[in-house]
Amino acid sequence: MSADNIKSSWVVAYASVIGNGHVLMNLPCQDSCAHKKINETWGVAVVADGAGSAAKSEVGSDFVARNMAHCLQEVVERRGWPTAADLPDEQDWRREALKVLQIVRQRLEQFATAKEYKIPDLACTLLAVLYSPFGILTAHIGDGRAAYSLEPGKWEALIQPFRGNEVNETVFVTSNIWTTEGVDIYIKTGIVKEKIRAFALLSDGCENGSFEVNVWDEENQKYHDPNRPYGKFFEPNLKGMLQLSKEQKSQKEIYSIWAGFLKDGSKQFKHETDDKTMIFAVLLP
Amino acid sequence: MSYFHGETPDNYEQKCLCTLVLDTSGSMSGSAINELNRGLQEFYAAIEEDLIAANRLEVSIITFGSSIKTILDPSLIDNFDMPNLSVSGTTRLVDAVRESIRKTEQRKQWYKETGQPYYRPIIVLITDGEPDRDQDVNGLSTEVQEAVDSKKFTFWGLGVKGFNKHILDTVCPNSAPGIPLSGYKFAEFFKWLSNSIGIITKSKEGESIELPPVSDWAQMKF
Repeated sequence: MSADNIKSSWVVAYASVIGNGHVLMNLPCQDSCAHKKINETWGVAVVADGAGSAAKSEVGSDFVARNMAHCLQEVVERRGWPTAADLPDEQDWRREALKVLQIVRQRLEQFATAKEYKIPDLACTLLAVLYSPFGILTAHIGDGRAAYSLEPGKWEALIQPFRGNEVNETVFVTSNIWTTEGVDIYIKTGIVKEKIRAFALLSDGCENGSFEVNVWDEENQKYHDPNRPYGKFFEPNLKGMLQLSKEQKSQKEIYSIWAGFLKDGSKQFKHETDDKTMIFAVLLP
Repeated sequence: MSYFHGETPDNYEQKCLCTLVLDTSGSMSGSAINELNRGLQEFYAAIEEDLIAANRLEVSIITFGSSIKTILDPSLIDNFDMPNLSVSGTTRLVDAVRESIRKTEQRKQWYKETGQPYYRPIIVLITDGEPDRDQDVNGLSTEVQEAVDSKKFTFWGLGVKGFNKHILDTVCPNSAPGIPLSGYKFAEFFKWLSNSIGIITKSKEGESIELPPVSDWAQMKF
């Protein structure tokens, strides 16, 4: 994770905590996250969820999260985008994001070679955003969830996670997706050009505790995944974030409080077996 | 002071089917069946204690001796009491595994029809003996291998003292050969199984789910 020294109009909490199942099985926390305040306007946030089936996925997720954050920072420093009018269009952003993702993937391959890892052993998903008070740019591979809010009480999904036929199937940065067709299907990018008041990125270990992802559809008489951020989760927690800022908590204190919340702050989080990561950012009023 | 008071949404738990195909032939009498029953009770207790697993795991039990019996159709832990098994008869192993494959497919179809997300089902075969002579072990071997290759289910075979390693390995897929149980450490095995189900891991498209490391219930490490 990264240090945050630049003055910013956002309060940001981020943490990755190990799931109960990983503790029981003596596995490491395979989630990683990174956050950087780039300048007074822009910040970058990244969540990477290591594949349980990969031998060194905690190394892969850490590498990918840190490198993605670094590369996205360079994009902002090069392109600037100081105002809403300067934001790129979707195609322009997709080109930038794909370039960055390819660089990160190449660096991962070099890292694997240098450290004598097999590339599939470093498998992880990736969910990254560049954010500013007037817009948010997303890039993601695999699962996880993301939410944003434009006005009090209203939360929308920022991405659509990729899932295979089974719950435990997804694609990873290391998957064989770097073909023309694969890039179109599996690498997703997007932009919201609005005044954002808050957003959240999370690994799938947090989704049952913060999103509606498996609910009964009365009309069609079956279960479905509405991918709906749960307002009753995010709105009260947004107030908690503002309170932390009001009390002038340091980033270290915020990390500690947030990690404690993700560990066992709700019944769902307490009993969750998977690792849990959430980055929650709130624009100060 | 607590800063975060957000509520938790009501999500139905994703489903994970685990079918236990258990040898209750005559040769399992005595310590073997007693310890298996004790292990099953501990499995039940471990799942019951785990809020997520209790809502996620559907257990099904098929036993085999001279006849194939579905002792338990897929059920969440709150909806059944773990049965106490008794032994009798010969070893219709192949017929029992085939029945478990049929029922697994049936359940998956139901998950799909009702829109319920599901993990790859797990079939666990536990046996101590040799199948009856009329049992088509090679035919079953092909069926299991093809099904595992096409990601229909994960298959684990556990051999209890006196089992035929060659036959168990033939039935099991190449990626997960039969595991010899150390003594009658069923309790340790079921503890491992309940933990494993708790952390069923992500798998890449086209890649099989890897077995978490086994501990002291297996006779050899791999």
